[in-house]
Amino acid sequence: MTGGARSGRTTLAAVAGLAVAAGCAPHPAAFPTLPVEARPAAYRAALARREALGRAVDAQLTVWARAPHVGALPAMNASLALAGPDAFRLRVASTFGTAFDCGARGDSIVALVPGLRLGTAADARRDSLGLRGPGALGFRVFAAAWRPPEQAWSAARDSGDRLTVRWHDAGGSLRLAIGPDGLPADVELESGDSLAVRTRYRGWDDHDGVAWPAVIEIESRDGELKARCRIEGTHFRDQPAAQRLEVRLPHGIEPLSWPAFRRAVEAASAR
Amino acid sequence: MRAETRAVLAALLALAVGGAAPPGATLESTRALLKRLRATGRAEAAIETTVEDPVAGRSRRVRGRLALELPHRARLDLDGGEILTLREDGGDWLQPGSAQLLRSGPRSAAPALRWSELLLASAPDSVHERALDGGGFELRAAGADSAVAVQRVWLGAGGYPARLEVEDAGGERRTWRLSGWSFGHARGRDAFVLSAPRGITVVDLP
Repeated sequence: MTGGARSGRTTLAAVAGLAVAAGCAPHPAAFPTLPVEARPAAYRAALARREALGRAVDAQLTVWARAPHVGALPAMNASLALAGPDAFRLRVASTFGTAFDCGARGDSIVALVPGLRLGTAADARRDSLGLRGPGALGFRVFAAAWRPPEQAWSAARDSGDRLTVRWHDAGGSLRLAIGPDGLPADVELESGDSLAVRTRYRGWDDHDGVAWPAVIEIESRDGELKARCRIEGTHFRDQPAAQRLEVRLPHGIEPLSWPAFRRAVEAASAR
Repeated sequence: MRAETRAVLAALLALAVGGAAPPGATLESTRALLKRLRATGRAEAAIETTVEDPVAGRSRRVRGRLALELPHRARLDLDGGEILTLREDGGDWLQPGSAQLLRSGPRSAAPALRWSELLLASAPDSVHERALDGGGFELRAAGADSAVAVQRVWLGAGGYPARLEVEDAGGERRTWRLSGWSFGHARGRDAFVLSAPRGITVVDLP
């Protein structure tokens, strides 16, 4: 740190701050193994707590990604906000500005790549996004909020250390594998021919007894798109702040259609 | 992630341009800085900005130290260990938080250097400098493909830059405050090349 030695008062404040932060910090968690018959109830109870907390969350992400045409990307830092059940915002930024900003609520999605002057404002009901409800999908992924309908549990299959539940909803066909701890371990989502995504939960934090995802891996079925997200600095708030979730396209950036936006970003990435 | 970083470095480098340019070709906004830089070889200043996070609803103050040497070298050391350099042949970006060192080659550096080349080669024809209220200047590069859209410079004591406002191509503005300018002998290219500390992964960019 530049600027000379800290004063004693500043040092004490810093030490006190660290102590408080350490006391409030989540702990990497290894939740106990449950009998198979107890897992559905444990899953539903933990899911209900995540859904309740997920109504107003913000967190910091470090993302390691591999994308088509460009291969492995450098690690990126991002801010994430969730407003369950169907809204999220993800902003990739550094000290020097914003690289990518994306917000979704329900069927609407707005995405912006400022450096390329590219943006889109799309609606899944009107445009060819290739998926339904991007806002709800983003929330489910980052909050691990996968809720099978009641009837799906009766057909759940136990395969050793995994309890697998399958169902269909408006978003597509889902296969959820629940781990021995009663938490989601592996989720596959398919929606027609256009979307096939696998989400794996590789680590959890314990926030006052509530399991919250700490490491998430997302992979497309063809393996071309992969992302590993480390989630830190998770804050649960009393109320969602609508303005924090809103992505606005700057003056002068005309929104492209979703397919045109995607093609333009892919072309720029390949250069 | 590279475009917005280049935007800032391009603006910082624009402060250091003109080493080979005839004195008459320099702009009013950089005249005093360039004169001392040519005479001594190296300029340093304390630098500070505020980074807003609209998603978390928080802001944080970032402080650091800027070093400039001719012809096209800039280094920004930020508190917390983040370091950014730019040279004629590329640049480095050490990110301790992500445990990586990004190394970029001439291709990535070129857009950032375009600003300084414009100023070097034919200023003021290629750069439009416009005086602002309060002792400031707005600089726009005609037809530049740089990630920098506009930059504005306000001068302080001695005519040295005291405030730099960078507006990137997406319209995002960032204000950097510069103070405590000092000058000394150039340290050369090696001072603008970073090596990876233990545990840091090196990522090579084009």
